[in-house]
Amino acid sequence: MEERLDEIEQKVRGVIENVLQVKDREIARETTIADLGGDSLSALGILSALEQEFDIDIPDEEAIKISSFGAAVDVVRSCMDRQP
Amino acid sequence: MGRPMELGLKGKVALVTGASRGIGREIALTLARNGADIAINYLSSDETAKKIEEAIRELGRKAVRIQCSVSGYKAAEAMVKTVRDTLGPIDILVNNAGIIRDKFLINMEPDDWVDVINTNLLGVFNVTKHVAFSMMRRRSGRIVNMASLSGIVGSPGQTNYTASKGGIIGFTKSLSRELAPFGVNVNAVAPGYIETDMLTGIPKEMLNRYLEYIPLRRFGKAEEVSDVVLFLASNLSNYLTGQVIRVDGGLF
Repeated sequence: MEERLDEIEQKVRGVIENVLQVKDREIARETTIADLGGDSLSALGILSALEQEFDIDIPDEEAIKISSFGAAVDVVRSCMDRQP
Repeated sequence: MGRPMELGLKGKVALVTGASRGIGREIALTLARNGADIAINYLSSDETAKKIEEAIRELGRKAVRIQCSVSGYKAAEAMVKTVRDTLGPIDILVNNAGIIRDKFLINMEPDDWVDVINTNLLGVFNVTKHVAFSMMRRRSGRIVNMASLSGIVGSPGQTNYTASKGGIIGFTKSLSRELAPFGVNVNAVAPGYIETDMLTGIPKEMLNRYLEYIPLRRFGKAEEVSDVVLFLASNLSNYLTGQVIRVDGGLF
């Protein structure tokens, strides 16, 4: 069962689906980009798309942590908190 | 007339490890002369590192000197952060820091082995690890690793050194494939006998014997190596990756 997603989580999910061209896949917090068929190239695609979607700059130290859906959400939240 | 050479180094940021002496020093100065801002990494020679820093500033380029042993993972991470905070993200990384502890294997102590591998090979991992991701994100970057001719052909008394340099060649070839999709080129330079401190320990008669095997009949100069590094850091080598360029006067 997937939990209900808040607005940020929904947007992050949308970005990942869009970049990886996946639809209707079960995406849990621990689902990785690799689980969804992505590689390091698409991971960087997700990174730029997240920066655009949320209008944030994700520093390298944070960006490198984005391997799973949950990690992406956490990084976006912390960047949004820092850059209001 | 062909097009004028546009090296594309203006305003680029280069980190050169082991840049206070020998080939590294020459690489730092050559890249600076061609427009790059330079981070000078060094281990012990603060005075010479400072002189190079000043020389680069006199060329109108920015420079920063950072004392750190590349054999430390955290230290390498902190160094890369310092470069980014002072000069900006690194566009060109030259992994040059290296040491020798020459001994025949039967006389070699574990420390002789470990020290050389840790500085020469682990050091390349430590620094590159903290630079690669930023280059990948920006879809551009150049990594030049200093190997050695002895890492290709072997050299008695240098099992530790040649193992590290041979390792650097394998590292270069694998990483070039990992980073190619991101527009980051990774190459190695393998110098032969170059007139630096590393040659001064070798007896004169032996040097003369080496000369007989060098078709160009002389030892190389540090700037003849740094010119090749400049080429690999520049726009002139855009379609070149995963290669080991020998700068050895035609040896072997």
